[in-house]
Amino acid sequence: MTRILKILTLSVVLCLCTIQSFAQGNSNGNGNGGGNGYAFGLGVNIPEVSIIALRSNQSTSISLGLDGPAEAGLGATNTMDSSIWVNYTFVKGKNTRPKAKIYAKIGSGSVPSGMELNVEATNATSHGKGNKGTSTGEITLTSSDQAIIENIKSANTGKGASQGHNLVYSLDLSNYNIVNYSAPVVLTIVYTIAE
Amino acid sequence: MSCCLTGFTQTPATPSTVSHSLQIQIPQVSLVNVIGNSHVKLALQAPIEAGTSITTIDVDSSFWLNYSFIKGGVTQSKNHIYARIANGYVPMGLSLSVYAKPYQGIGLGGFGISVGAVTLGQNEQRVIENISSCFTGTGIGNGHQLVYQLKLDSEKYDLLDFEQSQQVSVVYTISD
Repeated sequence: MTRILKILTLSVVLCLCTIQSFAQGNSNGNGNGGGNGYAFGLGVNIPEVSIIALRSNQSTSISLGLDGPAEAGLGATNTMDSSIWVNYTFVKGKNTRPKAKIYAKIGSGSVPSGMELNVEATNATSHGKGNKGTSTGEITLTSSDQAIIENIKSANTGKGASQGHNLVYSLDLSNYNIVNYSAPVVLTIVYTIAE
Repeated sequence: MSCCLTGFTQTPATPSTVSHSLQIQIPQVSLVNVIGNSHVKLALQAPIEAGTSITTIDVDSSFWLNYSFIKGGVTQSKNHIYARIANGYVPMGLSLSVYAKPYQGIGLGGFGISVGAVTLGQNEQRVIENISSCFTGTGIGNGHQLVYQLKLDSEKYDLLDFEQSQQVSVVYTISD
């Protein structure tokens, strides 16, 4: 009896799941499959994925504040920005990390006195797939992580500006009377996807 | 038939933190403007009956003062608004005063305080003081309403001269 060894490796990459199949069989060579049968192995690997990106049609370096009012009586004319979008891909682990949040904080620099820097993530657009997160509403940024998007399960938002969640920054000037003019202040805003 | 599952190494989690820069600009700002009709006529009316005085007072409230200011913490912590007559003069026997009413409008910040009625002359005099960082809003109804008053100085009635009708320009300056 002639034994024919067949090895078939099929690798399919679909989205973020890697599926590999492995087949090994024995045959009596008569082509009817009536020999010793097949030993069949299938491994499915779903990678642990947590990827976050910020995207914009322009630069993700943005500027807020006063553009130098051209007319007496005008105040801060540039207090909002919604040019940046957050994209992410997350694959949950049912037991180890059933869902994720996106956190925001000021990584470096500090907001000038008399101002508060707020950010709100809108709810996700219809792009992408899966169970995307929901906005926690507007937060005032500090140097500590605060969740701005929560309840992300396995999902992806789509890639690019105008996909995912829009980040809406606003500068609150409710203590305008103590604002001092100064050299431009540069902050780094850090976003983290984590359980 | 036998079956086995092969083992695979988990793909390491990819980077999960991103950042971007955000700049906040607060330039030095010090602007003042007067809003209203460009010409206002203040006139004392002639009496109808012999033996009576011309009217002693005329008032105009059509102008509003708008301003924007950003203080410097150390170098320029407050600002004030000054007024003076730049061209022309007030006819003898009369006085021209201005009073800035308390702030009203849609602005924000630390608005200035009126010093009350000020008799205008060639030298600058404060009409609003202790302005902190603020903006008044623009146009009529925002800022401080200016009340001009042309008044007869009864002790100088003898100096009145109808040939002295004048046009005066009043200049406002925001300065520390």
